[in-house]
Amino acid sequence: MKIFAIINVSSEDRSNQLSNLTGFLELNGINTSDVGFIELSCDSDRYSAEAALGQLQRECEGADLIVFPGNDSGSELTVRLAARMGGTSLTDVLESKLEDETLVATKKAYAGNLLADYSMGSKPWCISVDRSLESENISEIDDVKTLEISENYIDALCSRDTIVSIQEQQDGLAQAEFVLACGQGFSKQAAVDRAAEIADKLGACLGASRPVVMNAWAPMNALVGVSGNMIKPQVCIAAAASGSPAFYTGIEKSKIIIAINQDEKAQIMSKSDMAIKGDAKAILDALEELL
Amino acid sequence: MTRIVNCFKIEPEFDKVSNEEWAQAAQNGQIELGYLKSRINLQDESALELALRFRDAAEAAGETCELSAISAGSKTVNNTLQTLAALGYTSTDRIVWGEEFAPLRTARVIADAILGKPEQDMIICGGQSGTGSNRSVPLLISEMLGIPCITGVTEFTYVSDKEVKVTYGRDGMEITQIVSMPLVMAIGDVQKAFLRVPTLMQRMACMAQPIGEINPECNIEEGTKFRGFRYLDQSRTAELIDGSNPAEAAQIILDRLKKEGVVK
Repeated sequence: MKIFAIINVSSEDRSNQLSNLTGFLELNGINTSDVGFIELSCDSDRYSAEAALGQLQRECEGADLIVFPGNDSGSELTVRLAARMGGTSLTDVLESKLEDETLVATKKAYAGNLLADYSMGSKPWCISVDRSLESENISEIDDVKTLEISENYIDALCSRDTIVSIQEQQDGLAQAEFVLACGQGFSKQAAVDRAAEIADKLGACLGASRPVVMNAWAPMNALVGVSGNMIKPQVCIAAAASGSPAFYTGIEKSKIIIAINQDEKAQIMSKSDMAIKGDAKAILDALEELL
Repeated sequence: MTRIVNCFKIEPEFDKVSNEEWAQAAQNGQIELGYLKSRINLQDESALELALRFRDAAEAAGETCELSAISAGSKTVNNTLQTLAALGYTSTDRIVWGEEFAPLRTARVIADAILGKPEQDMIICGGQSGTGSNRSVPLLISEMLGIPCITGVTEFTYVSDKEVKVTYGRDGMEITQIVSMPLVMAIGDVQKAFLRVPTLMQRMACMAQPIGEINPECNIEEGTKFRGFRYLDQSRTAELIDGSNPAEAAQIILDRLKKEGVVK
């Protein structure tokens, strides 16, 4: 089988992409030596999906399987490359296996509550890897083909003159050892500010679920979940969070999860190591007093 | 004149279903979510509000902006289409459509509906639905219409009738760029972008505005075929502790934090 794996080095997170890709390959029993690694190379202000697609289409001709990391650009290229090459695509894939010459791929569905299996049709099969997959032992890939994004493919979307600003988003939370993640039970600015104060005293980083962030009670870079930070601390306290799969995906790599929730039946309770049925705000206040 | 079409989806409130119910549904091989309350997909909702803000700004600059909305789904979308009409969407259409896990066919019927309208400057969708979570439909619409696409959009503002200033996230970077239209935009997570509520007067003023009904013909085959689902068991030991006495619960937490070495 002719397999390619694509890394976009115009993004800052090359090692994360490599970890994500090799995590998938290891899990699915694919040896990295059987994979043709391609690095898309250009400055971040020269990148555009259009330009990358033009070159990948030529470079990946005859491919059976093309694997992209689960970051934003990877998922976009997955869908669009398949559309252009007459193949089929699936994003955020967790597992795959060959069944009678057909690739069967699995990903989360129903907002992450279930796993869905898909049969992929015509080749090339283009997939992006679920962001939660990572390899503990990334070794540098020896044989990587660098694909400089050619000016010939540059379209209006990547003209340097049109870019007003590029800022790197902070990702300190992703490396934190201890996180206090607030859920919808903290439904006021003052309540979230108070949680931030307690997190600071505990030496924890403050995280927040989607409803808290979408209401702007916590900053965007505090978002924990499938569209935000994927954290892997030693301890995560999930305070007054229901534990929706979108949120849980962001904390599932935590070694210890302590859930505090008034509702014993909230999803987070069964997905935690320690499930405390009670008022999260009162318990955090009491915790602060003990410090 | 700037023409914008929003494509949105109504979906069930998945978080109202317990773990046990999901497990049961997977075991039975059937998922019945019709009893759940429905709501606009959250990113689609942000997309609608951002389009309204864009229209307000364009009109304040003396320009005109025409908004239209399309949703593929059952009659449950009609309430939202009526709300949008009250908010100033001059054309509201429902594509009669019941397919899930079919992004290619869904994108095709939406693209065809867009082609049936006057030429649009911006086609705006939420980036991802909850059901299939495929992140594919806006990208496929872009490919089908041959129009550039930007994903992870969090803001777009009026520059001129030819250009728009777009802020979007890509791989840990926030980029602001002035781009030409036409453009497909997939909206990401946006803070404080909840759909505004029309007044009673606005609702009454648009009661006569019809909701268009499109019965699509779609002859393409879905390449990636949904086969079935399984329960995803993510349970842990879940040692249940009574936290009715906050001081006692706090002490238990503190002991555990010390044991794990995150608090001294």
